[in-house]
Amino acid sequence: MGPSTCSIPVPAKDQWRDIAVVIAADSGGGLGDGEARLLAAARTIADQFGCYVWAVSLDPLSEATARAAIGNGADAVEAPSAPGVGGVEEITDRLAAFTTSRRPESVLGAPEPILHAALARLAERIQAPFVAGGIALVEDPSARTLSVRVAGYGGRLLTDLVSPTARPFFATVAPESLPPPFPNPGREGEMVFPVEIAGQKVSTIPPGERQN
Amino acid sequence: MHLIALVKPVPDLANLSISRGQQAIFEKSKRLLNPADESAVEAALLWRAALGGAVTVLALVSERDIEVIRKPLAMGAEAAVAVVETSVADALSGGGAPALLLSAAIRKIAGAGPAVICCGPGGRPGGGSAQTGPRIAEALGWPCAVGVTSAAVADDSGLEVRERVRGGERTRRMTLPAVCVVDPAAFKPRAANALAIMKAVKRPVTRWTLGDLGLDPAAVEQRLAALAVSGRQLAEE
Repeated sequence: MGPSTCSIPVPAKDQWRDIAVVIAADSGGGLGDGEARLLAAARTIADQFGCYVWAVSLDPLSEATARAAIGNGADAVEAPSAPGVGGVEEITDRLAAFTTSRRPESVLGAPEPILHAALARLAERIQAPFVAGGIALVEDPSARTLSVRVAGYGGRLLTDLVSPTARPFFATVAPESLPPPFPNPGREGEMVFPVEIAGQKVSTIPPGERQN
Repeated sequence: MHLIALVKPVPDLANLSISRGQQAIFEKSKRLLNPADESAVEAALLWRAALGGAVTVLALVSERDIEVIRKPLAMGAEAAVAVVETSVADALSGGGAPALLLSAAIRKIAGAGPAVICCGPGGRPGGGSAQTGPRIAEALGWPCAVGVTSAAVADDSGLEVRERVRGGERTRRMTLPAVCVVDPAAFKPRAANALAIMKAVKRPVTRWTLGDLGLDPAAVEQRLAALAVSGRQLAEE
């Protein structure tokens, strides 16, 4: 295996748009509280930024779980049809396929060690910044920037980290520090299934591909 | 076989104060070796018996923290390399600048031969961001295992590791070279005896700078600029 850095052509900053939340902690048991909180936080930010929220799952999702993700704030849910992936490299490849096809501006996840490692690997692959172990999300709608608050020096100093230019911006945030979600079961969204054709991963185009 | 343990200095949290304006952080004592990295050194020392070769300790440090690298030497490592670049060592790691320097240093140490990189999981409270190991693996194009609790020789060119995956653990065969992020709970670091500590003080530490690694300063600068501080505040007591 050779070095894979820069193997993905990285588009310009303004071509990255939406916010993606990785659903990784649960496999088949429904949407976890952590993912629900992250989706709700992403929804709040997306409403101010004028963008969409993607929920990208590492496992196949039941309709009920996908509906729960949409109810908590996702506009679209992308889930594989094949069984979930477990190791760092598999998760990295799965998220790389999503990131390159959907071009999210921010990719958020819960601070699970495997997801940490996969996001770090993916960040290196496309030379993007990654903030691990955040405790809050701080948005600035006027500048359209998202900062991740981290606790340094044993939790005594809180620092907001922002990526001024590089996209996408990867971060893991402790969901327990985010506000509880208020799901809306009536929200509407899309379910998208990535499919594999002749060994090359492509994604289906969701109905009414958006132009934002 | 090159066994390379990555270590980093972290602030002594019991001996620091932060100015009221949050602009200055006063560290009243020397930085310590990250405890999780001591476990990475222990793993490298244990695997040396099975894999053969020698253990090299590698650290990205500022000039004032270079002495932390002597503790792994006292524990039994054969050699120590310090990449001395204060601008990177003291900067935010989220842009990937440390991984850029350390992967270049690993290339220089290991060449094209087989190597196992052992590192700790990092973690914010200790001052790390838990990403340097996987970033190095990606930069070098090597496989990476996370939460490794044990390793054994699979054959002449492989390593069989017990690694953490989502929802549990699995045994995995890795081709070398590879990166292993160890589980600190599985590798309790050994205590160095007084004689080894005294000998370690006198042992040479190889110092490299950006120029020695053949890296373009502009590339490093670009990584450093990828992440910035937008605000700071003291946590509520």
